[in-house]
Amino acid sequence: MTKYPQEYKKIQEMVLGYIANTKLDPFPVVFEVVSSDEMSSIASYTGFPRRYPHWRFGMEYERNHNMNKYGFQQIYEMVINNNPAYAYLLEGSEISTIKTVMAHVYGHSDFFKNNYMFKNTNRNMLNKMGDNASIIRKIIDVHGLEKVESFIDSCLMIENLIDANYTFQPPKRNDKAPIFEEQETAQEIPRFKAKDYMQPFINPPEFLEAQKKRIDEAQKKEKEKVPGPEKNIMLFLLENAPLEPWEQKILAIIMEEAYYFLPQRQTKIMNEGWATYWHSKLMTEYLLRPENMLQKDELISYLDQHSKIIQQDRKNINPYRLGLDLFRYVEHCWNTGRHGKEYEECDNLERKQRWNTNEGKGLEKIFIVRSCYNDIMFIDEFFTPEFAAEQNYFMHIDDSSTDERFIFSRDFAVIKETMLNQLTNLGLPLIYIVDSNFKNRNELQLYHKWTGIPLRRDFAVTTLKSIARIWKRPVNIETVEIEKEKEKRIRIIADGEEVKRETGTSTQFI
Amino acid sequence: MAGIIDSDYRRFREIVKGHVRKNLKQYIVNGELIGKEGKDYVRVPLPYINLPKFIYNDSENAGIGQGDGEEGDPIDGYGEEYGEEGGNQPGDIMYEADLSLEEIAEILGEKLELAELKPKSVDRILKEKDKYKSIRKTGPESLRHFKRTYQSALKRMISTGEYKPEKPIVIPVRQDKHYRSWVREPEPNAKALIIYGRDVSGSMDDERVDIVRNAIWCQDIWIRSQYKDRVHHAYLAHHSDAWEVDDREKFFSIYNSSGGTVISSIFNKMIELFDGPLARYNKELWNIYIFYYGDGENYESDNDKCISILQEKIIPSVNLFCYGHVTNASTNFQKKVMTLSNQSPNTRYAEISTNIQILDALKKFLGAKK
Repeated sequence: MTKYPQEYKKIQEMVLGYIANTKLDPFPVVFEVVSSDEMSSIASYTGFPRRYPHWRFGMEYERNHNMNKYGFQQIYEMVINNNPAYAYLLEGSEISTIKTVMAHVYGHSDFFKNNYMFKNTNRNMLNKMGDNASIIRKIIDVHGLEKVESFIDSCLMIENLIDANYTFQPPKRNDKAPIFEEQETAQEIPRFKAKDYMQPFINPPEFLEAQKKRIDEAQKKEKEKVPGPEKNIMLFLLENAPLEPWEQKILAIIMEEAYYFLPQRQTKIMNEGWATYWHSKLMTEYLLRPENMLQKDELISYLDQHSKIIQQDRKNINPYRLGLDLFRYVEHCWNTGRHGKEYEECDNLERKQRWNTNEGKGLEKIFIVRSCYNDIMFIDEFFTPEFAAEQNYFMHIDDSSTDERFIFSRDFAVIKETMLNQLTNLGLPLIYIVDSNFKNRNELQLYHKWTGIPLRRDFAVTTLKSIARIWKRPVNIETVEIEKEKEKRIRIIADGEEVKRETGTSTQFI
Repeated sequence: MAGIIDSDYRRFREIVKGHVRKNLKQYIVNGELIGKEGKDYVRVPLPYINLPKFIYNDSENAGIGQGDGEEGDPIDGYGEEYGEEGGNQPGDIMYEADLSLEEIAEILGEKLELAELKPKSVDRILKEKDKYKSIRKTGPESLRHFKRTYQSALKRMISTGEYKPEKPIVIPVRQDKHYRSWVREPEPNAKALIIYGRDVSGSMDDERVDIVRNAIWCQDIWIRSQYKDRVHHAYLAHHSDAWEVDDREKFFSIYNSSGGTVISSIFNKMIELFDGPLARYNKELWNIYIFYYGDGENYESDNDKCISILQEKIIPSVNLFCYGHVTNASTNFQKKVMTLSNQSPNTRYAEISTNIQILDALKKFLGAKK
């Protein structure tokens, strides 16, 4: 890593000087200057200098490296949610890029610190990741790479089976016995108090038999009781699966890291939007003023770069663009009073277009939004018909006959529904554990909540096998498949290497 | 490549190549990029492993985009990946950026070499090379040695008291200037002749031909990348008769013939290259390496003849004789060469019955002495 140049220090002071006059409240940021290849490798580790050995980091590296080499994409910026935040600058960047990146990074850092979704994330993750890496390295030394890596892969296959609410719940008191454990403690049959010689009369055998039967039945009922659906499958397996100590450690680490990254996945649009909003504001209002320019062509190169960042994307949502536009839209609405009952119920279009109560609460509002929302709430509340029309959004689908994508609809309801669907549960199917003692055989039963789209079958089969490997007993999932345009309830059962598919009437091996 | 990620990257490549973790093989998706290198378009394979999870079957069907267009209009699906001019320039040739020479060299490992390479007599002092190794006080400005010049200027200014630490300006004058200069050094020059021989007789089936081609191709490309113009190549093929092929491409494209097999024919042809009055290469001046690939299914009475030619004429004259036996079936010829390889240090033998063994064979052939 290269030394941190004096010039950059000056820029950082400039940026901080401006931030002091705003309500931004970021963690302190430590910047490091890295070469483009180092950037590729750090990005592959999602910004952390040390991760445990795993092929997928190498895969990411190859991708980043080639994208850069053949000129598709250069990563300029990378920041991690940590206190202090660590951020990376690309060696040899233009001055305007350094300014933009620094402003952007402080935006992210403010978001990490103040958005409620990040409230329970580990702010010392940099060291924690390093520790986790050491732990897994030691496990590999003892058990061998092949074995450990396979197990890591099994854990990664279920890394999305976590519960977004988990970190906000108060820790569960462990007063309930784990649901898979058999309660085989023999219970004493209650009997009336009597002297020994009176026993056969006061507690006759028929009476005791009846009592015993009653207790047995109660126990049986207790055992058959289906526990409430459990979404946190990773945690459930960690607490209840018969794992070796090393396996338990690895599963715990993968789960910890999954929860650490979860809020970032849930606030991608907001987080990027917020950082872009602030770099744009800082650059145009302050850092590009003539007295703050270090080079003549800064303005042009900034404009070039910024327009690339917020380029309209015809195929995917560009989170930088959507987030930025939405924050600006919210700011505008709250500056002019365009919200609330009176505005919404106004049906005079002309009056609505010129609506301005000079409320001036825009900035205040976006700070509230930055603290209390996540992507799905953000879109749900502020992605309005006016906004969608103004920003030219559309919904597109694949034409299966020509394999070409085409604009399917510009109808607001369709666009919004698609967008919310993509954000609900991060666009992933909802899977729950419904029974851990299925058919009284200690088998795990999962349930896929049907929302109209079937699971990808080959993936579901392998994932199920992975869970069976962790649970060490058969695992099945109840889901729906579409056959001849008809919905059909099926159950896929993974029993070791064997996988069966059961419909109401037939069973077949797959 | 940045150090720390190195081992993860190598691990990933191993998995992609199918050497380890074979159960992941089915999840490898062959992604690619169309990149541009100078004027040429190159296809950059970007394989990735799609680790299974519970996901929706057509999760990517409906998407959200932004921009102009009516309902029903196609959206330009390929994005910018094809480069701006892609499409309107007919006849662009696409190259595969699959394996670069460096990568092949890396795969084969740096330890490979043409063993026993010796500087041979006459050529030895003929070549001289200029090297910029010394410093002079005169010379062209373009060769000015920046550090030395300023060092001596600083020394001079300190000794004359001109230098002021609070205003550290160093101005070199003419006598401070130093220039890089060259010295002429003789460069030992070792030249090598590489002779490839392959059996193209009827017994060489698809699989065997494939192995021979792959092995020679890898070897050829590696030697060329390492030794560049210091090596000459000769390509020979045989069935019951042997001939030289003057072009590498042609050599590779020979499939097989229906003829019988007389291995001694190719050995005699090889000897003609470097021995006798009509030889193109003087064996005193050239390092000679022979790589012969075949299945060893020889005309029975020819075997002894082969061995005697090898022992008397070839092995004493060449630096190295290597035989790649491209089948796991044992033959008399193979057994005899094997025995020979145990006796003579510059004879090497390797069995290559599958493509995977090529690498090991090349390590044997091109590795340092056993």
